[in-house]
Amino acid sequence: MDQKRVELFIGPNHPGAAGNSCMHLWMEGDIIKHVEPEYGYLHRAFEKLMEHRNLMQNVSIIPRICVPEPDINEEVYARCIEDICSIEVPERAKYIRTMVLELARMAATFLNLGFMCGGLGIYTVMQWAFADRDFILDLFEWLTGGRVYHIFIIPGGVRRDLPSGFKARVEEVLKYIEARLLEYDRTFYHNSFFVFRTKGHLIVGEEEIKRYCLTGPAVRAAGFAIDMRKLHQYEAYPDIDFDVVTLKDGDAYSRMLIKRMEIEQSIDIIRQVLAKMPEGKVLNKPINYKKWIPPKGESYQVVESTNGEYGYYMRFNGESGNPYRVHVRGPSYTTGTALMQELMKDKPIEDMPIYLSSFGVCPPEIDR
Amino acid sequence: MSEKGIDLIKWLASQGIQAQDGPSKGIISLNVPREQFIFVIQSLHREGFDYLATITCVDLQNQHCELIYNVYSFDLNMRLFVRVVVGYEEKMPTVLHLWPNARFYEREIYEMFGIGFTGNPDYAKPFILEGNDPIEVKFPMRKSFDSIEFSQTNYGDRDYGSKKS
Amino acid sequence: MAKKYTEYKQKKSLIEPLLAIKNLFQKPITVKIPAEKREVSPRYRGFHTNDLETCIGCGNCSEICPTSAITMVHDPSLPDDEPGRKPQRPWMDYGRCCFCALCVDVCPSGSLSMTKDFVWTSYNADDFYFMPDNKGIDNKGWQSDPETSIFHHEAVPVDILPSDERKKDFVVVTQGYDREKALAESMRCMECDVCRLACPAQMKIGDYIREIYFERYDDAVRIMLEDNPLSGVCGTICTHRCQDNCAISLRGDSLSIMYLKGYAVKQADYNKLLDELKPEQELGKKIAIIGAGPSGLSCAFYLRKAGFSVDIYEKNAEPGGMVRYGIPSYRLPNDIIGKDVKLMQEMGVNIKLGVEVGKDIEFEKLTSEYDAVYIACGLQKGMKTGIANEDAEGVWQAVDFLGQIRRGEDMKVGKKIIVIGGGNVAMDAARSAVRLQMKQHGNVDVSVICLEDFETMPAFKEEIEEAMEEGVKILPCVGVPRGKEGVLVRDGKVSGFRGYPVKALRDAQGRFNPQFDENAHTDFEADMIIEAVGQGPDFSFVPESIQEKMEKVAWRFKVDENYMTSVKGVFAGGDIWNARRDAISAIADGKKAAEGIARVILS
Repeated sequence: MDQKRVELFIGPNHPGAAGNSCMHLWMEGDIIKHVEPEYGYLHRAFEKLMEHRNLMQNVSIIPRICVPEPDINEEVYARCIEDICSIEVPERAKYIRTMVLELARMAATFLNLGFMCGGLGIYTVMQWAFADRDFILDLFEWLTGGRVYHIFIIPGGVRRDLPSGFKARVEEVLKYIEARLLEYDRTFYHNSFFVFRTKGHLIVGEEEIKRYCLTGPAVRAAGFAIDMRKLHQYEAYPDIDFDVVTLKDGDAYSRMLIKRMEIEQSIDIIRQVLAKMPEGKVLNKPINYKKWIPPKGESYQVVESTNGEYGYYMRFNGESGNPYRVHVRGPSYTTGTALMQELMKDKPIEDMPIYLSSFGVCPPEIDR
Repeated sequence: MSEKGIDLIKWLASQGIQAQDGPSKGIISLNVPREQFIFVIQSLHREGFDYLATITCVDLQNQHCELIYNVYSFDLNMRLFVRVVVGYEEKMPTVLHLWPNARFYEREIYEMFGIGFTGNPDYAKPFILEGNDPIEVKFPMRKSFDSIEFSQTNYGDRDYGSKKS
Repeated sequence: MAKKYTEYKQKKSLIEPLLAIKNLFQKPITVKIPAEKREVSPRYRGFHTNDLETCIGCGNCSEICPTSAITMVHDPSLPDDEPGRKPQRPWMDYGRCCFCALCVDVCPSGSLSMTKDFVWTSYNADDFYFMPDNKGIDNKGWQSDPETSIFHHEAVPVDILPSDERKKDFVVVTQGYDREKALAESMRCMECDVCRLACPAQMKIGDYIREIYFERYDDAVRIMLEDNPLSGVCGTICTHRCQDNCAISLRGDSLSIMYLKGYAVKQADYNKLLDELKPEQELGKKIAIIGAGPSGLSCAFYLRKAGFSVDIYEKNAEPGGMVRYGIPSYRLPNDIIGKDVKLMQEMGVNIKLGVEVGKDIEFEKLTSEYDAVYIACGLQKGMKTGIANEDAEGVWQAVDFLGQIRRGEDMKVGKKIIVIGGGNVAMDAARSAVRLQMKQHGNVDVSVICLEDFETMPAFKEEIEEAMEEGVKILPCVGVPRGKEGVLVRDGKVSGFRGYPVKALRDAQGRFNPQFDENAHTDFEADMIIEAVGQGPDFSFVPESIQEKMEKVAWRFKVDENYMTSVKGVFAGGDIWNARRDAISAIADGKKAAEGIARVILS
């Protein structure tokens, strides 16, 4: 190691990161020579906890695995169990789940936008993003009873039906967000400082995508139309008409733009879901949790989160009602570890928060 | 399943690897012995299964663990589980040269389950656990690790004796 | 056509961000709490509130809590033996609670809810471990109702023969459950064991229903036999107090425990269980039991299991007592009783049929030859109503009527029958009369006259409904005041019944004191009247010398906690002692008497 190298830490608390993680940087002057990520600040041992609780009790603890976007955890957990136990979900429940997932996507994108601005120092837009996310959280409070951790999707359907007047409320919030997007464009996305800091930086091309197994906005920003919602047709997505958004450059600017364009995509999807929602039950009650012993089997289910492919592997051994093994696979596992070490070599230190926010590195997914 | 997928399964069968219809729709399991593992995984990588989602480890409680390599092919839209049963004391060959992400996956598996990897220089570096608890935490995801005892010894219980009833 | 959002016009400008300054002149969206109020959603999951009047202390909330935040704490101010409730209440630990509301969704009585409160500060950490009570009940947030609850509120119905078919003959009315229905129904049980206190025999209901769900019928019956050796009989005709107190019945259908029990007994193989029930050692003591009814058989089972040598003296030709000779065969077929009794006989219980104590063998002989005698003779005589002309020809007691039918003897019934009484025995008599009328006359004319109204009639609701389907007419609130003519007689034979409307059944203190309107009366035509108002004992087999020594409570022999009367070595139990007088109470008495006999004899 060179005598001129200095070791610096970014984290564990940083306005540019979505969770707690410590990046050890070895620097020569302004340039990063080596990054060593240190995770473990948010390790809560979920996979072991889930092995000691039965299927109904697990529903309450899984949203806490991914803090910015908790609904994807409930969704994939429910789908794994429905796959192993062959449970049918009513049509209306599928549409409600789709709407919840898309609202969560929007809320998580706003959060990500807030963290990006925090990292760049554009604090006005950071406060705007958190405030506008609050309107979506109000919708969740009306529907599910909780603002951040919803505990709403259970195996067999969803827990409650839409309250009266909910569709009108959702339409109000969507109109408000569409109007606000204009302001965001003017203040942030067309802002010279933002463009200067991100355009042409941290380019990810086809080779990196293949070697590091990337998914999500990073791949779409490089020009490949890969979206888990189209590849694995789940929930109500087969009935919804939407296009996958792609751009060509693959740099940090394109990744942020993709996320912004996907806000409009989510608004369009939610409008279609509300228009096409059928009537009926919302829950096929699962077997009494005290007597539920699923058959021996395993399942791997995938959902498209804001940052890429999010998957759960579940395994039952047929003798106990508790899962035998649950493994959570988050997209940050690829972008927050090996890719960071490769991409941040010989880059200036100011690119670090850009990296963390444009890829959406979420430490809770890595630590579980 | 597509034509190319069926050819692939036939070719693997000719090499002695039997494919089973695995969990979920669209997933096929291959049970591979440890000695043939590198050959199989490299052939799959060549044939288009170049997306490694994750490496999962399951403790089978008879001094063996099962490693499941979750590979996916975008062209065929097909997922494969490559399963290897490995003993607690044995070491697996690494796939670092195919996927650089595996450096971290294998670090986590060693820290939680105790399976070593030859060819990966950092596999024994601590990744997630802090390492400074009063009682030593060694390979906590194995079924033999008692998490309740760990929690009682390190953190104790809160007593509500004065307020009960 | 590609969607509008797939295109984005990229721009870069230094001036445009400055347009944000116009937000300075807009109203901020911040809500200044607590000066302004913020509307909390009607489904908010805040702190808990528990309606202590409706909470039954079942403990389901603490079983499901994923973080072990709820503990059930015993409350000494609540009564210990109230059926359907447990004397404990939930205490919440907010250091652990994750506000998931699974406890609210699983609560069977609906007493637990969550409020819209979410602010609570205190300097003392122990304040956050508390018992939720009625405070906050007007501010409810997340509530549960049976449609969205975690428990299943709808029961699986059982198939019953349609009334046209079943009234033609004494065919069994329902076969109970089959495999699919039994699995679906046993799945519903929450294993909270609130029903256990209500059962007179305290059977381990949650445990054996769990074994039924996993299709381990032998294990299920093994658990049942620990408290009730006549499980097949109880699985068909029990008064099922457990079902009436099931936690789910508070807001849904109660669990059909009786049918599940009957199904399990049908599937179990008693031969496998026999090896465990044979006594390990013979104690060399002999016990005599008078009466092979449910109480006597139950006492014999437990005594034999302990190693005593048991002889039962039964005056009828078949064992079973009131269950065999009082309950019609369309409710309880003989083979079910036979399966249970056969088990006891194979264990070594000696049943002497057709031997009447007092006639064929003297009571003193029993007390001298055996180490103990257990009187379980039951209530063999029907109670009289006390109205005039009760002894005319054509007036029957229900006990005798049903007993004669069950013995297989000929019974000619009249064309118009009136049954007096409102309990299960009256329904049994009426429905048996219907079947005999269909066989002998081809049409049905049976009326049931009782003092109570439909709501307070003591018979089972299902029995009343099925009787009405079969054509029985029920006339509530009709009776005969003391001293007035009730039974109308012509030429020495019954010709009709005169009934007076009941104004009130109970007086101000709640005591049974019927008041009639003596000016209005209705005459009904009848050529047969069956009285089913109660049963009384027949202690003529006990000699006077011994009866004088026995302490009595009203007409009953007083027994202590070992079920021993004041005469040493003579025990009593069953219908002649307990107040409830159904089969399961008699069986419970038998078990407790067996334990008492063992304690007294072996000490």
